[in-house]
Amino acid sequence: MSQIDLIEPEDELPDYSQLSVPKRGEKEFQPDGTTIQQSALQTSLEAMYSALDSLRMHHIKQKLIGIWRTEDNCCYIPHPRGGYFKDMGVPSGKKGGVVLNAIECLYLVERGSMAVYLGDGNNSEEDIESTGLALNLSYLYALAKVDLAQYQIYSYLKRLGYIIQPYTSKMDHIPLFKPIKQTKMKPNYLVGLARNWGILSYPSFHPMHFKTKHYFNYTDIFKSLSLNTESIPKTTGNLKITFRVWKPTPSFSKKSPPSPDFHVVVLDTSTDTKFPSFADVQALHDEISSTNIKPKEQVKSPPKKKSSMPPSKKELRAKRQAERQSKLDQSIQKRNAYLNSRDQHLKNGSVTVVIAIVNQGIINFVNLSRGNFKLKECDNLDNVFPNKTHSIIYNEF
Amino acid sequence: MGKRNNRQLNKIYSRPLPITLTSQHYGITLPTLYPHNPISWIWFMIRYCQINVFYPVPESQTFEVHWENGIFKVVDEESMMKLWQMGFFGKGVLSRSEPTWKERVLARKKENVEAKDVAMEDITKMRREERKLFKSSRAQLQELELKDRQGIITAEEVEQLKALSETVQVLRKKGRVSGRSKSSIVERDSDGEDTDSEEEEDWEELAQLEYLQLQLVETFFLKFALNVINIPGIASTFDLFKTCCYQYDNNQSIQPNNKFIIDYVVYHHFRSLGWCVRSGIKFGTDFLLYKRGPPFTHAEYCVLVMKPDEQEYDWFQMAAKARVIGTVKKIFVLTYVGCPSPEEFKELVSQCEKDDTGLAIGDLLQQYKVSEILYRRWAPSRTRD
Repeated sequence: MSQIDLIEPEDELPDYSQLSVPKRGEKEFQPDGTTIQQSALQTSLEAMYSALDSLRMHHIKQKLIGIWRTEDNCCYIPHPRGGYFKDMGVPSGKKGGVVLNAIECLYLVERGSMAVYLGDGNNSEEDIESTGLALNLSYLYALAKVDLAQYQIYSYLKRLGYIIQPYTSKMDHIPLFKPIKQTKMKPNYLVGLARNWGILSYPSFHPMHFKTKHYFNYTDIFKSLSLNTESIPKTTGNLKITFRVWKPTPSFSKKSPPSPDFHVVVLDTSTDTKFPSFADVQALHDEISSTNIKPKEQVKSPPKKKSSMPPSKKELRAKRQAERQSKLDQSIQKRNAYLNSRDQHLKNGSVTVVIAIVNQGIINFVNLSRGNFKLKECDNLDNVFPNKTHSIIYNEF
Repeated sequence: MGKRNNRQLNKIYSRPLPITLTSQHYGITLPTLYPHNPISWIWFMIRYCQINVFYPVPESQTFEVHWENGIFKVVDEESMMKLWQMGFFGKGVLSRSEPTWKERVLARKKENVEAKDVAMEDITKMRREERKLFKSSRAQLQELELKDRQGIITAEEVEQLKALSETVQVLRKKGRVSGRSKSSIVERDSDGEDTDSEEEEDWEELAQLEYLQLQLVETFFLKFALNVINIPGIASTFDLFKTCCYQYDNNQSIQPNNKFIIDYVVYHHFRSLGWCVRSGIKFGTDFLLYKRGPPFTHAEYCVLVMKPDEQEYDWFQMAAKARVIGTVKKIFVLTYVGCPSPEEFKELVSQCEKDDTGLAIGDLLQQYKVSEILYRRWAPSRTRD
């Protein structure tokens, strides 16, 4: 659930008070003229320079060569090497070649991982280096037709280690929601008589309702107050999902990818800054929930600890919490687990789409989730307390 | 300490709505129903009939609300307190939210202010003073430390430095403790007032200058959903409905997307799910959702009411709101309200004119549709693993 937690940078850092050496003191904002401060600054600067100073190079065996195909706006790689093709490119030809789209190609060239040549159509794959025209980065930018906003998002997420593939819609059509008309029964004479005698109560929202009905708990009152408001019916939207994104996974396979961790919509707001309409967001949610047939179980394995790092404050807190929990009564433990998972459902909503907003080169990511305040289809809550109305927050246990 | 606190709070705020339960009034409950045991069904039915026939339904208290100059006011002291304690309705106009003005004045006039009489507002004040002291002593400490490093410190100042560093340590710890634990929740004994009757006598004539102001949606909820208020001059629920709607639509014909109706639909939606709903104006949104109420927990959600067919906001406004809401550790909820068509709306309103019981208004409000979207920032560098 880490994407859900509110941003709290301090919690993520290791608890330095547990370490003896790098104890954090008060931050200094201006030079105080002492040599102590000066030398501390100098040491860290030198550490940075020496890290940057080492020579970086590619091995000749790892040399990656691509041939730019202007007519298809893509790049053909006859001999793919290195670890880049786990998620990039589409296999092409019988000899194990791969075709990259313009965004992927641009990314690899910008990283300095690939050299791209422009052929005249007759060059053989083997001697392209001698007969083709080597493209430098600015030439490639001019040649490749790339949506800059999309490229910025792609390269940013890629550099962070995410696995990204372009999104292809598999959806045929969504069945549109048909409202069901409810017919209401008029109370007849006998019912009226019974009410006058105080045997039968008046319905909810009648001024006499709470004067004629016995209630034994507040949950029932809240239930009776429900207007049973429906959700807004489905429509069609104008936004398209751009990328499917996975967290870094070593076992990722291009052929049979698991359901993505994130769906990213790239939105260039340089000219139009309007927030998308409800229909747009709803259509995106519908599309995601219809393609993700099996929602991935959110079972999170405990993160592997780098042995040298002291536990972060967050982890210490969680550990203490768990210890305290285990001492409680079984039924209370069960209740607390139920309340926790209910909170998670409320916080996370049911479907999430990521909107990547690019405004003149500046990137901002926003998660938009479908709210689930009525807590529908929450099987794990039903498993604990099957007969409880989960959505009523006021707790009476 | 914390536990006792909670128990007292639970006692004061034992009712989430100003409705008296049969079980509270008579001290009786219905027997537990075991689905596998038919005898328990029979016993349940017998008890059920018995209670329905022999026990009259307990009368919930009715509160007097005044409609003056476009404000819904509660002036009776007991009603003010009850409406706050049973569902957190309204705001004391001279207080932060709970109408504590009179209590605070009385406490200030007393010689010995005991901890239990301290109002929420004063706690905040004390905490701020403490913080100020901490900051000034820290600044002093840093100054001395700099002198120490520069080697121009006197022996007297070395002593001072030692003492200061200790005070800063203590203050820092203190700030952390009171910041994290719920010590900001004040113990307030419900019958603590009577103990010092001697001193109080002089101040008994202190006039109550404070009144409780109810929001439009709160007033309408108390009337339409619970029917526990009585407004002189506004007899029927539909009259109140019209009065509230006209606050926004001055042309005497109510539109389906009237701001009051839309706000109320959202308010009722969350109230009927058991949330404590209060105004979110301090965070730039329409409502705040509390799990039980302000004395128990911080609000967890900020609700912004939106219209699905209008693009009222742009990304800049949304980002600004989300940023504010994020820093106070709440979750931003966009709540969209879909309206019925104008023809449908007109017909339902004309139904309301005929049927004065409030049921027709229920039918009208049922035609509104509610969907929520949660808005959250995503920091890709933090969700990678």
